Amino acid sequence: MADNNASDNSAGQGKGPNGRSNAAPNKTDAASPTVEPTVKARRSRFLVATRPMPGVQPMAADAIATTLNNMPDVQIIKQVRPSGFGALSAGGGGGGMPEIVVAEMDAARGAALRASAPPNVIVEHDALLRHADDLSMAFNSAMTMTPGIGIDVRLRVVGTGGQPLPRTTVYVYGLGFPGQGTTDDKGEVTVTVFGGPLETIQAIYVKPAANYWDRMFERPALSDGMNTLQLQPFSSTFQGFPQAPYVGWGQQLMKLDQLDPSLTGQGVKVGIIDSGCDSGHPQLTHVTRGMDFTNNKDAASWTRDTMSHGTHCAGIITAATSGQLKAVRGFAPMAEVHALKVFPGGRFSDLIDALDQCIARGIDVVNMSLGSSEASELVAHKLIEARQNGVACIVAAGNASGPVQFPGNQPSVLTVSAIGKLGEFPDDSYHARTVVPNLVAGAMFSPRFTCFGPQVAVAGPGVAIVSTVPGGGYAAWDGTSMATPHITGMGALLLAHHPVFRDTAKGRNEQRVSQLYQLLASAGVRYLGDPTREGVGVPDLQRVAGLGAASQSGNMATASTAPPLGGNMNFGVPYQGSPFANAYLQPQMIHPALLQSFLQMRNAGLV
Amino acid sequence: MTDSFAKDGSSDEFIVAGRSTSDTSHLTAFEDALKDISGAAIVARGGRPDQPHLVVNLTPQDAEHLKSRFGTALIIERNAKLSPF
Repeated sequence: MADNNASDNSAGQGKGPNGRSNAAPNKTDAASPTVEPTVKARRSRFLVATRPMPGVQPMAADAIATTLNNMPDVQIIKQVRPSGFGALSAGGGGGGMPEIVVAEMDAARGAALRASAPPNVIVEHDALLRHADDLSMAFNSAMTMTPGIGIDVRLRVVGTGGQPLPRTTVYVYGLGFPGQGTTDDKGEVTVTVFGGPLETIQAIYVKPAANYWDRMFERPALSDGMNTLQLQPFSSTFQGFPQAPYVGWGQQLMKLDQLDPSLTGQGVKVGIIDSGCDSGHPQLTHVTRGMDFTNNKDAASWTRDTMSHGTHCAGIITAATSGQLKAVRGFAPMAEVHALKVFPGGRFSDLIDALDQCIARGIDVVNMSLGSSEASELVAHKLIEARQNGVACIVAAGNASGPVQFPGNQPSVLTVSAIGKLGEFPDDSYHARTVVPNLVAGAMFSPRFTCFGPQVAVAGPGVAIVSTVPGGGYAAWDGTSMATPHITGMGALLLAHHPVFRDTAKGRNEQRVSQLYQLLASAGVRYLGDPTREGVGVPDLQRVAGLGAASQSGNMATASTAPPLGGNMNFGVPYQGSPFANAYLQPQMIHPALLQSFLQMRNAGLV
Repeated sequence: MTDSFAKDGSSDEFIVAGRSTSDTSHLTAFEDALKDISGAAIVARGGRPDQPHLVVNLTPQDAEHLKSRFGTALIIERNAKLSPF
């Protein structure tokens, strides 16, 4: 489990605009019920024995057993006297074989015992033996797998009241490939895994369909019968959810909750190139335009979002209050949103078609929470064309924990990495696993998945982001996909309401896109100190002069300085052999972070 | 996550477009060349009228051959799958 210090960061955090706590359930909150899982963590078995050392008196087995017996959380299973261990008996002093104490304890206790054991005591994990055939897996051109014996793991997923949770996806991790299943109407599922008995199950990950936190059960103690797994609803964390107003931690970080509520993004066209958008969601009924590139450019089927990804992004950008539902506040609820569906199955050619639609429809800002490990010259050209036509492309950096992926690595787009905040998710959720201790700065952290590099222009909130999913529910997801729509949404607000765009609103050109990128970058607040992971930081609406933000509040982070854009620099980089052979990169077309790095290198005489 | 390259000689999807948008003659020549390749097929015709592109099924070997023949006039690249992040 990652060290996220969640409980240490509860004070003063997670207060919604109405002063309600929306802290993670691990925080002290009398209103939040405590969830006691039926399935508990499995204990580990350890071997403890004396280690013969020349000149050191061996510790007597009885002394070892007595010591272990005095530990209330340790249970001695048996004591064995091996018939012969030559290496151990040599110099043993006592003349006989050293006795081994087999004891069960928590893995953490065992690790602590091992770390604190004197040199003349051996403490080691009593690991399960495996067949020799299992010890190596050949990953050549064709993978060979020993089928082994399938073990059925019977699981029931319930909420805090014991009610079954159907359509919950369960992943069971054993020694072989993970098993996967989805719960039925009774909340039950049987998952078959191969590779060993129940004791070899390393973890179970439970991902609810909606309205609950996900949960990781590590080293679960499972039985042959039905094993019950319990999840916590969002309502145990966010009081009154989803009827009561709630502003996500990301929106709060960007000060959306302090913005004049009359600023709604009206008049701006936002494109979302993704898996469609379920406009049947009560908070997304105003999304009425779209096109399905997976279905012959159908004008209606974009509402069928089988992956939920596009609907989640749409909620961050534009979710609107609807009757009793106020669960998610989108940045631009009055923007004209166009859902351009390319998933599942989208390819570069679909992206080109979708970008053509953005140009044709006069989209102002487009969210692209997508990418590829491959690159495309044709897509790169289309992105330049889009920018020249006034379409600002906000692109996710990627979740590969490595260099920024395509098309986030293109200079024509604004690239967004993800940032997380401690205390905004349960400790036993998968979100906690995105925390890397050495990438934590105060309450903020750079999640392990986010791609990084000089192309990262800004960071957006991207861990445990609660937003809309098809069917009218809500889910908390991680990813640069979730970070990107925060920036897209803010971009829509700026285009709609910032004075700099008032006169240029009709001038749909590259200059307007550059101005938007500069404005977003100038509002960046750095939290991590690593521009390759956060660019110029997370844009803060309060740092944008003239947007009508409410009163300033204290912020421990330092304001970043906007990179000097628009200077008289000739990069002289032609797009040789392309339709843009005569086009040269202008400073406005360079990523702010990339430009900043270039200027630093030039000042240092390196280029 | 992207789909893997076809390495066993099976066909893969490629996208083909002219480097110069004003001249579509090379794309026409490419279509003609495609007729001589067994197993090659046009999957879709896309793009704007002034920027047409073809999506074709080719083996990687055939794609390399066509790149060497049309590479100066046409962009021929794998039509890789996109992933939501």
